[in-house]
Amino acid sequence: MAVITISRQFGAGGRTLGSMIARELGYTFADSEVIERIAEAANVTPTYVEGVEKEAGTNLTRIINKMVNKSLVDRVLGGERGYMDEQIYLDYLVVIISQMAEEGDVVLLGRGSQYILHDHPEATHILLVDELENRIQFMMKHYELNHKKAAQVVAAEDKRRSNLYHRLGKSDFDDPNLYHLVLNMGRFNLDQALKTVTDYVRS
Amino acid sequence: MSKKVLIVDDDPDVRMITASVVQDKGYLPMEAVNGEEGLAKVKSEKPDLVVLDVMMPKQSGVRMFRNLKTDKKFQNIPVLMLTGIARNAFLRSQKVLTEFGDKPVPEPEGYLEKPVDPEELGAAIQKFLA
Repeated sequence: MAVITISRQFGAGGRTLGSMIARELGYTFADSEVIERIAEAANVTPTYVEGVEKEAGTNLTRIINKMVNKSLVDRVLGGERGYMDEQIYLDYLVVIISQMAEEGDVVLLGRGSQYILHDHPEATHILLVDELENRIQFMMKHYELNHKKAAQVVAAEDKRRSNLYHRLGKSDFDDPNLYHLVLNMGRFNLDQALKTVTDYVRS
Repeated sequence: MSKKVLIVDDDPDVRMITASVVQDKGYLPMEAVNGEEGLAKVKSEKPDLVVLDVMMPKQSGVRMFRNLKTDKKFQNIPVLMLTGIARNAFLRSQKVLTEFGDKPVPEPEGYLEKPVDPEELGAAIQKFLA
């Protein structure tokens, strides 16, 4: 029951390649599914979870977590609704990624999965890197953005990625030693990357 | 006086079935719907056993378990996990949370994966309280 984690610099094609790998191997591609499972467990909407995830590790979140207590949220939203802060998000995230790995045959995109599953015996950890301009061009081509918007999205997501790992106390997320394969997507096209990964996993 | 069993689960059906098993064994069931409420009841009721789900809104069983097992006053209360999360996944999550900076916690004293046979549940509960 194999598990593949894909960490990537934003715009290096992680979501696209992850989806291709999952299709080729008949695995589940877990990107939005992770969010949906967290939302279901916490009894909040997926949008709420995405909001917490987006701000994870930032000073803004720390301030809000300290200022807004749960009893106030209960009074505002009603007792039946869920609640989520950074700690609750992290608790669910770690359990759900561990559970999905236990279920097996899954491609997990980002969210610290290479750390959570670092010693999982069936896991293959992959890192995708690329030059900044190439990543901007990738976003322009695949998501129909102009250069300015694509550059903003890449910069914002790079920052978000760094913040999330900071929250986990990790700063070595681009260290090749964490991974089985590091692919420079400026030198591989998606089909070559797909073949490299699937050949490795099948070997 | 009967020993007390605190059942912490957001699913009313699971609470009802577990409470029924607890009563059949001659113990006193008490209920909480999430980890936050569960922890408050641990403090007020001082149960002899906690039967704990993992995935619950507001405060998960993960956080309640970690809070219990890092509190000197309550860390000796045995915890029987009763959950749809696989044991290996739960144990991994605890190890990873410690690696991410939380205090270390021991493994739970008991672990049952849902769905569970009521007889098996009763036997597991009795093991801690007999």
